[in-house]
Amino acid sequence: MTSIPRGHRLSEPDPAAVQRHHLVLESGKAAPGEASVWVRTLAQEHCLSSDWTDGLDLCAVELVANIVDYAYHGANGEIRLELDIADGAVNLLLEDTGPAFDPISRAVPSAPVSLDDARIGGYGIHLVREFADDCRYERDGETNRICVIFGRALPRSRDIDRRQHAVDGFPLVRAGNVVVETDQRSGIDRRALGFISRTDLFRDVPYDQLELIVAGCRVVGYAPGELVLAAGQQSNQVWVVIEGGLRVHFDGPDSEDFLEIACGECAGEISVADGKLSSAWVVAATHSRLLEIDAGTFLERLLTIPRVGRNLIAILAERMRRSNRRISERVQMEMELKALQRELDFARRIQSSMLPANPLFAEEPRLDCFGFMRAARQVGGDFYDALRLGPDRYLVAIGDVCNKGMPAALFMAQTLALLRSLSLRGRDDASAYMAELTAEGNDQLCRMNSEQLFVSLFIAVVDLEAGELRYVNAGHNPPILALPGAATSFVEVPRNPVAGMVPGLVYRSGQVAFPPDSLMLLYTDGVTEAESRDGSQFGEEALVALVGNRAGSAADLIADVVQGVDRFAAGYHQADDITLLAIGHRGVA
Amino acid sequence: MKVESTSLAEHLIKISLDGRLDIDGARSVEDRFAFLTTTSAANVIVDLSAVSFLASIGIRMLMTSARGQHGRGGKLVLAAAQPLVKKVLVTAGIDQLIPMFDDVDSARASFVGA
Repeated sequence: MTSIPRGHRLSEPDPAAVQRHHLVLESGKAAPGEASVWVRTLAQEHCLSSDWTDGLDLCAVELVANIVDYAYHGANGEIRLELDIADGAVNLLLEDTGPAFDPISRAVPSAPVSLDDARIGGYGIHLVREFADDCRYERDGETNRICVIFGRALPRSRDIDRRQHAVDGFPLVRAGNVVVETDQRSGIDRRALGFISRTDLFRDVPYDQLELIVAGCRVVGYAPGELVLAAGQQSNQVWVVIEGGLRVHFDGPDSEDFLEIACGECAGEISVADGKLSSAWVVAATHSRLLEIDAGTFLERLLTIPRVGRNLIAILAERMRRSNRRISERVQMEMELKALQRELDFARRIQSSMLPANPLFAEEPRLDCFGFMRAARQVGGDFYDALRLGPDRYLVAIGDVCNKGMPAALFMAQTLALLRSLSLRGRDDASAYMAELTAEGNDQLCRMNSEQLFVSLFIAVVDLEAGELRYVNAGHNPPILALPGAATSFVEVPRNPVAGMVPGLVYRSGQVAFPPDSLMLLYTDGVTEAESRDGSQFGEEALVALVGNRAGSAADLIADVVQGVDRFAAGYHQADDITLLAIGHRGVA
Repeated sequence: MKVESTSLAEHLIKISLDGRLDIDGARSVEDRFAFLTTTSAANVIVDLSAVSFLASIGIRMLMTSARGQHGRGGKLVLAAAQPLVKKVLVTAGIDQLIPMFDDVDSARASFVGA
């Protein structure tokens, strides 16, 4: 594992003696480890120093992990690695096709003062920057490219090709029989043409073969939005994007849905190959420079180079793969959504089956009781319950878990189960029973509440013989009480905090008369706070009025309230669960 | 990656890690490591002598445990890091947050009389 001592070199290092190794990894949990093994193995084969070997390993692990997590977000994707090794220099190149992201430019973490202030993560890029001699990032078309340099930056191998082969094809004859005596290109065009051997179409084609041909081609500039090719036109050119990028629109030159052709890719080749009219609009995405290759040159001189033909097939295959992948991702997503939907429907049915069936207390002729719940989403956090405690005593409850959807639904199920199991410990003193039930329920909910949810509850025990009602209100909307011969009113006091947040609370109970012909309506804030399109709310007064004007049974009242709320909302979306429970004392049957 | 714990004294354990503390390594030991640091004595010496490689994910694991230990009124220290591992820790500034000792004995001495 020792490198050759510098003094014993036999000759000056040949800059072209760069050994290049490639690796393509599928993004995933295993990728950082695979990159590490690959880099370490090569480093050892090339007898790199242990400092560089360790540094390369660390950079590979951190950067690949970064790509897996942030470029592809755990989804599929390709990570290309290239390791260039020469005398006194190693360059590690990483490429991904995730969204543009330059990790190198991220701020250096400031030195933390104490353990508690310090960040526990995010050290990866900082380590890469410190361990490597230099790091560079570039965005090339749809590719993020990071180059980590140990020693000095190595020229990219295709640049080396260019330097090694002198251009000796002049005078050359262009496609239109124009004779070009000498190489008249300016420096920038030369560089642009040098770049083409890095393009997909000309990848790995010996540069001397190529330069003669492309030197006869024009480089044309396009402004953003400028039309390169219209649908229905006969195309006689193949364009290679040297700078900027193109968009291929299938539905019209301004359509939103387009395919991007990045720097290094080409356009027009299909139309030239099959001789058919172009099926799409090709528009410059930004300021772009395109190498224009006429159909004759392309078909007769370029496609006859075996490597070019192979590259073209690879380009077409890649495009097909890209669109196949897009299709299969969409199909997969749709299937997952459907499965989730089925599960949610299932959960909704389970949740509704947890609530007691209407009419409530059907076996008790002295009671007229009806419940209703409609979740804002598939599943909700509201609930109601109705339990018989004894011959004359019945418990009704309503609750509202803060939050909606699945988390609320799970907490609701927990609360309901707890309420039912605790309510079985009946006691003669209904007030003490209720206060204890709520306190105990609160303590238990606090213990099982990792997500800091809470629930508002109103629990009441109706004593038909005594004609009274005892209750505990834990942060819930005050129910509406209609007593015979009295104005409809709210059951306001005593109020207690919501359950599930603070253990050890003592709950106070209240008591009201509940003689025959009385009715109480329990509801959740989804009823009073139901919104119409203009943002106004259904309100408590409307609810009180409906109770005051009721004529029929508990079920009729609830139907009226639901209809009233729906008419008020007039199709505006239901933001919260809507839950109601009406209980009426019919008197002696 | 391997993890082993030894009780050195009352309220002092040594946790020895062995292998590469990279993503796979951290994944394979983090549960056991968290279990050992959260359920055992208040003070912990992490013996890094057999750790040949440390990546940022490993730093995260050490930081989480050190912070947790601090919160429980204890202390977590690192001992006997190999040169590369030490360089990574120093580069990330971890040596300013978690005490580092050249060997387990000096780490242990730091707890005596504390």
